[in-house]
Amino acid sequence: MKRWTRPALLLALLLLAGCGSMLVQPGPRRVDGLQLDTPVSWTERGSKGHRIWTRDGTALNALHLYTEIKPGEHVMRQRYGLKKDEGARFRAGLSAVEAQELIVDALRASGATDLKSEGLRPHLFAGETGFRFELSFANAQGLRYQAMAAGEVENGTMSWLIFLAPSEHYYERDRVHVEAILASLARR
Amino acid sequence: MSRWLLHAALLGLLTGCASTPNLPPPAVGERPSIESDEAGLWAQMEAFEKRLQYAPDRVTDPALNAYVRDLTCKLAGEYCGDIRVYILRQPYFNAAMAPNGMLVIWTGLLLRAEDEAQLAFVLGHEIGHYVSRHSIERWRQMKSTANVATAISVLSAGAGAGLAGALATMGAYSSLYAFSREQEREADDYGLKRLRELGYDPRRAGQLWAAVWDEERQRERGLMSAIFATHPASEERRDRLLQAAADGEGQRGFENFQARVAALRPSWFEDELSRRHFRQSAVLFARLRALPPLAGEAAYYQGEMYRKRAGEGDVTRALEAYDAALAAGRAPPAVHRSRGLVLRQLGRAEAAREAFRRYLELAPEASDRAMIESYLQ
Amino acid sequence: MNRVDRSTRWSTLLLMLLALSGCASTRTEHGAGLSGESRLAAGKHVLLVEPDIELYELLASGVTEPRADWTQTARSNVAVAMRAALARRGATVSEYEAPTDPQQAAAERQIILLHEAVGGSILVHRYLGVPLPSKGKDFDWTLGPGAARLGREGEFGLFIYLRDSYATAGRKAMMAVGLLLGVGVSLGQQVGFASLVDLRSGQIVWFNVLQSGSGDLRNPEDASRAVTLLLDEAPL
Repeated sequence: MKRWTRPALLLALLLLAGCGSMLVQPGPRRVDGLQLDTPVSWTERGSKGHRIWTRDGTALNALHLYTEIKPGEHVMRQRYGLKKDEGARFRAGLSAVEAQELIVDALRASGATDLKSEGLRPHLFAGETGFRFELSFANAQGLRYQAMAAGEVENGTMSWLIFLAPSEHYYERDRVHVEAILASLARR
Repeated sequence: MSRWLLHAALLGLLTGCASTPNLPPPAVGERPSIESDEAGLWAQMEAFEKRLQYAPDRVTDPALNAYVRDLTCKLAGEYCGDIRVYILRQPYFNAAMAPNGMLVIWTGLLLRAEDEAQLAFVLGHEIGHYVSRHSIERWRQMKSTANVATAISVLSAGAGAGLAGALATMGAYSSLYAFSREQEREADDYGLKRLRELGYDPRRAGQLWAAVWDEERQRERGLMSAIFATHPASEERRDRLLQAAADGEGQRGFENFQARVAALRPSWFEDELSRRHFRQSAVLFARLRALPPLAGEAAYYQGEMYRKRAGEGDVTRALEAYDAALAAGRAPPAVHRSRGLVLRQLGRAEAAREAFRRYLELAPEASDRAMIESYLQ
Repeated sequence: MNRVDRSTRWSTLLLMLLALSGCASTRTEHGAGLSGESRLAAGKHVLLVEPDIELYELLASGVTEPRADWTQTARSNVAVAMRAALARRGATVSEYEAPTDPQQAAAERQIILLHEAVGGSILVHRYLGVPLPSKGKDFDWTLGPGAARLGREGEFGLFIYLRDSYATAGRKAMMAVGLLLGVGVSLGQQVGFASLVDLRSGQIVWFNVLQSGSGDLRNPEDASRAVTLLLDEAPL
């Protein structure tokens, strides 16, 4: 979820073409220090620390998995266009309430408008006491999206995931699959 | 980031730009003839305006819209029917007038204005651009210069940089909203003129720019400013406005303005906090805290800023600010949740639990009840 | 996610497509179960949804200037050509109008916006070739059952996007000079796409991208040709 300038978009598309798209089959899988089970297949991109899964293209469904974000790092691993102290950065000793704030602020900064988040509650994440909440927002064109986020801030780092999809048809279609993935998460 | 590209490109263009003779003001209800270059611009603006009807960040609150619309109408005089105002929920100090009469104002500006005279000045300034046809002037100036191709490609690169950048650029015609110094002066003069004619205190204009400049100065290089490049803040501008109105007097419209924005202002404070540009927010919140009706609310948000910034000593500062907000009697129930979070950080577990309990008492429908309850165990 | 004129975003993708694939052509995708041979039964009702057409003048300096007069002419030429082409195929045409009830209008608008997102995915993954290994070989894209909201009148929704720019005399002169010096100067591009959606199910049954360097949409015959190219192999 970055803001692209036209040249950057062109470059990114050129780079993406044929590069680093992996098939994720249904079943058990190891990802970045975690073990999970997926009921459906996905296309995976990204690298250690930030994996992006999609089924129809990221504008239609996107599951982002962030692992081991350290103090000082941006909550969505954004590296470009940010000064050292700027932006939504993880900090040691953060509470779940503040983790939610970070995620909301990062989403707003990446272009989400009319953003509402609700239902922050404790939730197991990879066996740790973590958090979960839901969101809704619109993209810049006005297409409405829904999202669910879950994660944990124990042990000095933050690991979390978020699933985003248009409210129209796409979110409901895959929500149950993401719930299953979340429930299956475990540390290796 | 795009704001810097915009700025850089325009600095190259603005100095030494040949000026064209002033265009006559538009006739009331006038539309450009279809073969003209103005018509092409209008078509673009009309397409944009059509999309604006559905914009997810459009503020639709009827009372606020009626207030801003009526004020604009008063200021626009005979052009009242040719101008349409839109309010967008964006945490930046910005307003823009398109050549077809579309006027867009951002909530970051409504948060920063203190009274009706200041809002009236900004609206009057925009109407000044419309009456002097500055957009089409700029477009004609730009079209023929050798630099324009570079500028357009650089500026349209900015069009992809997020909502803020896109609105200011409105497609590839961003330079139309970055007027020359001369044009800004003309629009400022028009704004002051209207203030005087309608009985507002013209000194409020320079004072608004002084406040905006104070905030702008806090910006670290490379960070996106809350003050848009289309309304460059500068000492020169502030001084010029203060001087031009030095002998002025008139109404501020303070109570009326504060009453009209009271309902939505908390959400604008939240949006400002969300930017996480603490230096600028600190200056802004301190200024607003000095206004009696806002003192409690601004103190709460100042506390929130400290809590989020989490720098050295910020936890203590946050608690002090929350206490001030509570004393002023204008803090939302969430102040207790914030106190709880901060007290937890200080290791004061029992005091923290008490604060969380108070929060849940005052906000039984809180959406994060389940999480806060888990803190009580 | 940004509010760039959606046309700027499409133009970017389509210009890339042009750069990658070379010369003028149309490429057609068909929904699962539909081939170029099969035709849907005559008498189908087609709802023309918000044709997005704009024309520009390409100046010598490289600036493209929007021309409201050319755009209006092109829109009317394309609309006439579209109705004729669809009528030849035995379809009846109507144009989408948003309902007056604001909530209903907003709900229908979401479908139109979703189409833009789905169209973008199709361009990126089917035409620009960014792989999506988890998605099968079949052309399988949908707007979901909510599309039926638009389908109260039409059974198929036809979405069209066209951009074109034409060079001025100054630009043409530059072109001549450029050729002498061996520097390529573009005269303007014509890019467009069309997609046909079965509004009952939301399934995209047909998608076509047009790339061409010739044809003047201000001219009714050329507009007719462009429309024919665009509706190439449309199952209507």
